[in-house]
Amino acid sequence: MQKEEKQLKGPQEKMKSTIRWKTSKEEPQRKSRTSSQIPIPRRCSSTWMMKKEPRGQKLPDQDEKLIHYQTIPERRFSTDRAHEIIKHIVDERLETVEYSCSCSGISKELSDCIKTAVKKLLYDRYKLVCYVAIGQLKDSVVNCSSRAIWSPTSDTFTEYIYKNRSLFAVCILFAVYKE
Amino acid sequence: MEEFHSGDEVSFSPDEASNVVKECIEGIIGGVDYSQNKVNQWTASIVEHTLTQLVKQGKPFKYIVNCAVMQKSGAGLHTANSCYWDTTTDGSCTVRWENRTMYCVVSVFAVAIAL
Repeated sequence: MQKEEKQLKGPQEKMKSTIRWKTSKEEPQRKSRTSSQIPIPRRCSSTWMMKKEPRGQKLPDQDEKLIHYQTIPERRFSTDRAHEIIKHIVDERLETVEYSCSCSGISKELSDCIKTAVKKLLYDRYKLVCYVAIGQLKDSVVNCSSRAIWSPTSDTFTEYIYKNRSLFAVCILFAVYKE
Repeated sequence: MEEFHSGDEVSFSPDEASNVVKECIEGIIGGVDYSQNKVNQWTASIVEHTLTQLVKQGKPFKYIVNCAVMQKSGAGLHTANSCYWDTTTDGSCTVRWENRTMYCVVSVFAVAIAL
């Protein structure tokens, strides 16, 4: 009868040794862990706030340039329009001119005039080169050729040849896009 | 105070280009008299050869080369050019060459590419 009583006491003693958590405002003192003091993992929840960048925030200058840099023109240079302008200027200027030494000044004047007039077409980021040659109409032959290394998708040229009784004029306009 | 030089900006050198053009002209029509049949071929060769030599320099430029060959017969020829570009990076050079029977005027225009 005594043995049975002892067995009954055993489980009751185990019940008494349960873990008790103390909650206090003070920082808990760290104690060495034993097999009876294994912390129970707790689920924790947290909320993340996404910070929205305010509208109109500017990127650093270099990044902005890389994103928005255009290698192809929005508005391609119109050779037809430029040709009309060159024709109008050259016909008007050389209509009554006879070849003489003063044609040197006239060729400079014409090239400046053509360049200024085509500039007014306001093609963005286009560089212009205007070449004018005025020669005397005599028993001689002039051969003129041009070649370029450029971007055919954006760069172009236009030319106009004028002749009257005593002289001829060759006007070439090159339009080169700034890449 | 140290001056800052951007490694990317290269300006056009008219003297170097001028030497290249002179060599090309001499090589193609150096000791030759004017010929009506061959003048087309000559002008095409001069511009092409000049372009090839300029590109070999490996500089970041777009090039335009213009060549006019005229027989010496007493007639006059005037050439002029006007450019709207960035004067710090772009440039041009014009070479006038002649021999006993013909004149040759070559103009080179170099427009910088931004890298």
